[in-house]
Amino acid sequence: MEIVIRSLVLYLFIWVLIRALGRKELTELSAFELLLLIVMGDLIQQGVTHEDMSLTGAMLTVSTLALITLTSSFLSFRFRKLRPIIEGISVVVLRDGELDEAAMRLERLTSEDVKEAARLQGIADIGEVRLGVLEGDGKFSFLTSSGEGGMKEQPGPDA
Amino acid sequence: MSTMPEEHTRARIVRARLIAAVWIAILAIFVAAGLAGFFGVRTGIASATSGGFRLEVEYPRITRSALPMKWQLTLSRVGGFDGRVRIATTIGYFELFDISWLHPAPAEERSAGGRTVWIYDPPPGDSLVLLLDGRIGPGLESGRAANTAVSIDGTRVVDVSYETMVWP
Repeated sequence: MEIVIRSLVLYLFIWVLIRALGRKELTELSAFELLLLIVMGDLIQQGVTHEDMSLTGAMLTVSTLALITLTSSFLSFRFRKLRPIIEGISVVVLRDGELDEAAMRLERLTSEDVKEAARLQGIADIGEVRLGVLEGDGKFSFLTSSGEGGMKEQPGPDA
Repeated sequence: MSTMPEEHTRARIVRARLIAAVWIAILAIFVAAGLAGFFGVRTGIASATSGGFRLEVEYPRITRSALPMKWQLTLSRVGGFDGRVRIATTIGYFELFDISWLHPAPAEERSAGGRTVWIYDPPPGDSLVLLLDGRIGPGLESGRAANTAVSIDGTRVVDVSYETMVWP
């Protein structure tokens, strides 16, 4: 019983922590944040499984985490009001070629961050961008004024 | 060659979702069973009274491999003990455990007749309490049944049977 409760509590704790870190950090990890995530994984494992090295314990932990993920996905789908809390919100940081400094400040983004994201999508001049959005998962989407290709998603790390 | 995915009928998509829902239900039942303590750790107490002696064994009833365990035996008799106490337990039972210590240590210890035998000098007072500390051995054990019998000066006075189930 304990192992299920420990998994639940620590999952929620990590979720809050990652949300608190901010969206930018979800895709761009500094050396400190990378270190934190690696160490956190090890510490969390000890906290969840404690002295339990059994196969059943491992299966219970993984099953609990999978169920929480499924539940949060269902809640996000079913209840619109919960969606911003669970998945975060999209923020427009660039409109008609102009950077929205206030929105960027709130998201702790520099103009270099936005320019770099645009460059990665083959955009040479942010003046071409009609709409630049920092998505809930920390990725950037750009809608160019030419309209060709529509919304461009920032490639993931495995792209 | 087209990279477009194969188009599925609505019935096939619904069937696939149903199969996924069944798996999720199984997962939920598994976690609920874990929450309810079905996979341990649960402690059991086996007790018996005979001829003025009361024997009580507290043992891990359902547990998992490599977890800490406690096995405690309490033998009591109003008026105390007037002879050597011989405690004999099914030998295979203790193979489930990695034993750290047994307190108090027996005056004699041996194996006889498929049993682990501990012999104690007559203890002071009305009761003898033995505490065995350790953990369940790692591996794919399914559990063991045991019988613990107490004899005083060679005469069996009381015994209890119990079983430990170990989830891998």
